[in-house]
Amino acid sequence: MTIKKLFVMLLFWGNFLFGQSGEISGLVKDNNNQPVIGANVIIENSLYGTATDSKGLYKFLNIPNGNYIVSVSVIGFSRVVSDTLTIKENKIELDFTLQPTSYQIDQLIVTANKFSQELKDVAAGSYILDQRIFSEKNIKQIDDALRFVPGVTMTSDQISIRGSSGYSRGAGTRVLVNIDGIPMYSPDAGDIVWEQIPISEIGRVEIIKGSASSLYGSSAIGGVVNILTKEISVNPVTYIKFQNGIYTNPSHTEWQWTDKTLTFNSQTISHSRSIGKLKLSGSFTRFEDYSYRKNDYQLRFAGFLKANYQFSSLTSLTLLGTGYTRDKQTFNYWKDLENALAPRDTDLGQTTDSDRTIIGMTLNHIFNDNFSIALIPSAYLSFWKDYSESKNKSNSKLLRTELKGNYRYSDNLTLVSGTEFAVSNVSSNIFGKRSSNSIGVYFQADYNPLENLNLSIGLRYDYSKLESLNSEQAVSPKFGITYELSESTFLRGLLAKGFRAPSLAEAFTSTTASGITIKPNPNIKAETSYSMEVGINHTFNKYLNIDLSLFNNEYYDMIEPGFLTPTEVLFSNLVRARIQGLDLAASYQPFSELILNAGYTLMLGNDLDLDKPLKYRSKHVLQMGLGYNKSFFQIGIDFRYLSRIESIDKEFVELGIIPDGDERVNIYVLDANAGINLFKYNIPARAFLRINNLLNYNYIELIGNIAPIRNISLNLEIIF
Amino acid sequence: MRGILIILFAGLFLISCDEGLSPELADEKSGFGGTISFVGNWNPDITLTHLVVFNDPLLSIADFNVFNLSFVSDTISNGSQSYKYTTYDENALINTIGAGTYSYIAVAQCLKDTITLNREDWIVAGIYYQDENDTIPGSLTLREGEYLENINISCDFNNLPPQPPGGLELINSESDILKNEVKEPESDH
Repeated sequence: MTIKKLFVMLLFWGNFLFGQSGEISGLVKDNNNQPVIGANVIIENSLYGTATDSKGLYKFLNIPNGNYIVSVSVIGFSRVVSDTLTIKENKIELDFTLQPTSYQIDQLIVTANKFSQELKDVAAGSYILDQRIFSEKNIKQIDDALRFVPGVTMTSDQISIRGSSGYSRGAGTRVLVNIDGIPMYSPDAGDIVWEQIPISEIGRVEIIKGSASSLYGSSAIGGVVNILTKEISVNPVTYIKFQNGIYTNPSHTEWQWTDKTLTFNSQTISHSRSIGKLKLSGSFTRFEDYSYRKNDYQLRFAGFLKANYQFSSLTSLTLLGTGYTRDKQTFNYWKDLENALAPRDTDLGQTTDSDRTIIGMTLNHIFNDNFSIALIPSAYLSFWKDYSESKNKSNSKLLRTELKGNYRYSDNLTLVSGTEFAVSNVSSNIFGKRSSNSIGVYFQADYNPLENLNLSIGLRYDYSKLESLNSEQAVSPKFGITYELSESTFLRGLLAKGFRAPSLAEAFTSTTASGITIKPNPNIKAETSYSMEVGINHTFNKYLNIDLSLFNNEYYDMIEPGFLTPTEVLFSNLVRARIQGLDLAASYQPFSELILNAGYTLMLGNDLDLDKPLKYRSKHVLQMGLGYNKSFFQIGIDFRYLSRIESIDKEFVELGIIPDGDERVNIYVLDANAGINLFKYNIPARAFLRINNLLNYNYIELIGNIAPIRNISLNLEIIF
Repeated sequence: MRGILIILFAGLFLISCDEGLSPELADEKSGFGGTISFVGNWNPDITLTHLVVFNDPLLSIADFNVFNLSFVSDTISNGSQSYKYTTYDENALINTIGAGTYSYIAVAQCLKDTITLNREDWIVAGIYYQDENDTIPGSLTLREGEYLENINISCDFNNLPPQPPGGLELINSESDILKNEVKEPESDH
């Protein structure tokens, strides 16, 4: 049978099976009668889901006869649930009006416990990032948006939740990043490559703070970021975005290294539509950045494809592919502070080419009202090579499969269980020819003994084998509790054990860069953690919502890079660490047009062996955002403060590898944005102006790397 | 509430007006400079001569380590009679001089072709003293942004200073070599 014939059969199979069906459609609007674009509309307890189109319309076709409940959710508005609807070969029109809200507590989240539940029932500190931030703040890459999430910090491109990570030069991650449940850590270095994530396709981002190893295994010791792509609308939707921006002159003439105006630009085209029961979405993006730094130019082409076929209300298959090809010049560290935007002379001319692709599939099947399974195989293919003196290159792949089952034993007991297998192969001059494999089995029970009390007990077993290293086994239990003290007050607590196996890069890297030789460590072993968190969420008068967490994380055998000799670096189980602190998020919306968001995180991270602060962490982090939205116009301002990084690798400075490398300051960044939305006037376009680092404040996140100087960008989006 | 928000963001604006990192920070770095003078004849077998600055005194061989080193100058040419130096020198091999106290500033010489971290490979030809009559190495304290001049060192090949621990054997032989070199012309007379 040819593939074409098989495709045609699949396309019509559902129609043959379910001849008696109806439709549900309608409009989703806000309290100002404006259409809400991109709202998630789902039929509860089914696999049906869609998104509103550019006119706020949604539609479900071919719904088998039966009783259904429809719900609509989008961050910034209260979730709305319909009454029970009866389909009997009829068409139901149902409109929804959403009320703006400052809090997220009634939103649904799927990442915390691998099934859909309200945020208030989640024991771990959690946060949901709405897709609108990517447009309104002219976000170029998702990690830029994560900088606005309370408790999340970035050291250059390396994510840290509540201080879990410092900077490991791209080796390994303590935060698991998924796209639609498919892990995105690279097969060789084990790092997260943010460029792979298509901004235009993000529906929302769910962030779990603190160890989630009991469900997600090794890389989730510090938390999870799950990127959920947009639901595909039944109606055809085309999205076109042009972004153009410039970097203004550096604040010091000594730093100006060219007379040219430095720009960045991107073009994205995305289209989604339904063909019968097949829903398709795809996008293509070209991104070019001349950068504010010398030898930092990049050109990237990225593609995304998502296809969903709804065999029935009980079975669906989703295919997802995302990848990019990129040529990028290499900027390791500045020459010195007097030449802060230029690399060392020896780095000039160095470039790196990389091609990365993730392909995944999710097969969902609901056996009955209580039992469903999901099969999620995926493949991550990665190739990169650099044009440095050592001409490093790496060719690697990671194959992974997860089988997950959800069983609703009763109205107050939900069970989740699953197993994961992963195999990776790497061929590289710096990592060698290596392979690794891992198996994980997890089980979790969520039990509501009382209407306002939820208990969550989970356990996961992991086995991992990394080439010649001793195999690692870990058992990661967790216990969580949530309690609804009143309609406006929710309490939560979590105890969890986490673990992280060393990445291939941490064990086997053997290379020389910037005068430093990185040595392999065949004796490296897994690190473990014990996490404790208590939290409270309280809403005052519906205008002000505050979420407070106190946390204590104890790390054992923490893997950190350290200097073996003055010129040799080794990853090893050096550190017994403790990270304590608090994480406060507040949202204030005195009236629907104005919203103030603020977050403060205190992180006291200490290396207990040396009685010194952990490297590359700020003690205080403050984020604030003020937005005003009136009619078709909106403005906003954002502010970030991070206290001066307390500790760095002093050897880089003392050995003169990074001249002036100890120069670092508190971070104060002020951004501003303004936008117009012409949908109200039946013009399917919106435009956003953004000024990042408005006051051109010079700071570093990573030593020897000035963070982006002031840049101004204009986004034009057309949706039809 | 609106007033509080305005005050809050105005405050943040003012805080952010500080420019952060700047090249001036590099210019304002603490440092020192001076002249090294050489007395007597150079041993032709000497291959490397550097000004070296240590944070802590060299009380044992363990103190002779790279983490105690703050500055290693560019190579001083053999046969030099005097050499002007500054810790701002971009060609310094190691330079982490900043505000702080430096307890041992010396001119060190080596017979090896490459720089090693073995104490035995080095001989100290001259030490910075706070007073010319001192016999104890002088320490130097730099305040933030402070630059001290006239941190001069005299290297008398005929009268080497006390050697830090760990290199005596070589030092004795080196001293003999140096003394012989110096004495030879005298014997001609």
